[in-house]
Amino acid sequence: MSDLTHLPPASEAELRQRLKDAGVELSDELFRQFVAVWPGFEAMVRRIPRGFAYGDDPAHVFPPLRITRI
Amino acid sequence: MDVSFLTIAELSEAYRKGETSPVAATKALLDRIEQHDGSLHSFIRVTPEVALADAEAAEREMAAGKRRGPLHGIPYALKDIIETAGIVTTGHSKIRQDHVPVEDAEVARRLKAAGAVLVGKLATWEFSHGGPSFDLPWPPARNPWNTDYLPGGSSSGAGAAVAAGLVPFAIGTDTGGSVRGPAAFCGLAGLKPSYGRVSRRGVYSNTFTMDHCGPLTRSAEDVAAVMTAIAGHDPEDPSTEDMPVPDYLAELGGGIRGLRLGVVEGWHDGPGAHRELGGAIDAAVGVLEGLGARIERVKLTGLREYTDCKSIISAVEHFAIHAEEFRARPQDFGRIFRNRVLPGAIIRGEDYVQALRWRAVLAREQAAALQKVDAFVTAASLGVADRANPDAVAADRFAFGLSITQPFSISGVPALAIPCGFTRAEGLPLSLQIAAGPMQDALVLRIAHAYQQATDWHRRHPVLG
Repeated sequence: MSDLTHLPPASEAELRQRLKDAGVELSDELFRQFVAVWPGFEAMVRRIPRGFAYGDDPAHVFPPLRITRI
Repeated sequence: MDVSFLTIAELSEAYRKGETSPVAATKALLDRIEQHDGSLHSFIRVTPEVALADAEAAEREMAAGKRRGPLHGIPYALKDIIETAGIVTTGHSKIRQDHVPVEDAEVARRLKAAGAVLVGKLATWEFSHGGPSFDLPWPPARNPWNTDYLPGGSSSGAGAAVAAGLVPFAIGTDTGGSVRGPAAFCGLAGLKPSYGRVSRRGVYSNTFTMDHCGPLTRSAEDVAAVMTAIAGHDPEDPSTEDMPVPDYLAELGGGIRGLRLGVVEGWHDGPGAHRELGGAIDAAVGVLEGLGARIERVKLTGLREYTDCKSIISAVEHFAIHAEEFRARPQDFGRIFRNRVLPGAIIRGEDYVQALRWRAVLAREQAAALQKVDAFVTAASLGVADRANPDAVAADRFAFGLSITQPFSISGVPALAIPCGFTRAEGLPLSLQIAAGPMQDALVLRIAHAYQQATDWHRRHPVLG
């Protein structure tokens, strides 16, 4: 399977923009803390295998009779 | 009668014989909490009025000849992410420090119906995820075996309180190991039940399809007693399965002769493991073999892949739960919680779905292996409890370290931690983990019970200062 480990790390400017796009504005100190931990998460995200077949279902499914119980 | 370290079974028997009573036992434990919790910080809130009312009710019923079951009149405490009607439920967070629920969580309701006696709400990592933290309204709990150390998390107060003899059992929650970790670090039995076996309704969500409520106790037998009360279908929790609940206590016996136990290669004996862990697990496996189990070796995907998969799913789901608070008041979360969950704001949708697809692959791999063995055996932690050092935890190595509990969170199978030794270096507990197929909680408990009939690690208790 393929992964995304070949991609370059996100820049601080990209991270601030992505947080802003999510509606999250951090103080400089909180942003500095976030920048310190993000590379660990970025590495995990990029190691996740890709290239599944079209029909490979995710582990979440939709059981309508349970979800729509009134 | 000193009730401090009695098991549920022993305390219940003492009630039956008239050697003590629910009120006397509850008062004794409330006194013990008063005496020792100033250094342990296992409780966020003690509820003496509720406890004594529950205990008096149980005592009246017993005097009238009514016994509700094995938990009748037994004191216990709840992790403070489990909602209790009229009692503040904080999530160990400034965000919810004044939140008073109007209803009991289903697990609390069932324990009330079983006649158990609620003595208080327990410390946790913030919203069962961010910790150990020193920047929250309450301090992190300490490990009764040595208060310079932490009890693990996130059911930190649950582990500390049961190990310290403050309550015979506690209810924690386990998303990636939050029952099993504290059980391991505190020398207790702790079960992450099968996903779908115990209702999550009324419990602060962390990761929807990995959240479990489970007991921390002093023995596998006591886990069985608690499961008998809390397991079962909840029509208002769509994750619970509508299927018969076994009599877990009745199924403890019978031994393990002929069972095929698969020791997972490369997990407890891989990178990052405590140097004394391998020997302790080998010895435990030797005991199980001596009881008639057939020991085999099993190869599963490595811990790194499991941890990556779980961490991505959790970050995204947990951010979604707290997104509005992150937008309005990010500074009010503790540093560790904020930095573990905020990545969920910017992990892309495709990444999340690929992690969910990878989860399905990993779960099927375990299912295939369980066609060849009846249960998995490994450690419940790669190390021992960590020192309570604010500078060390600020770096938050827990966010990226390997987890030996998360594989069974990914697959949703029942997994139990039980003590299997102590380190010579630190004098802290080591722990065995037993896991089996979905809904085979009774099998896991049977294996653990057989082990505990042949060993006495679970009979050791810390001496409090």
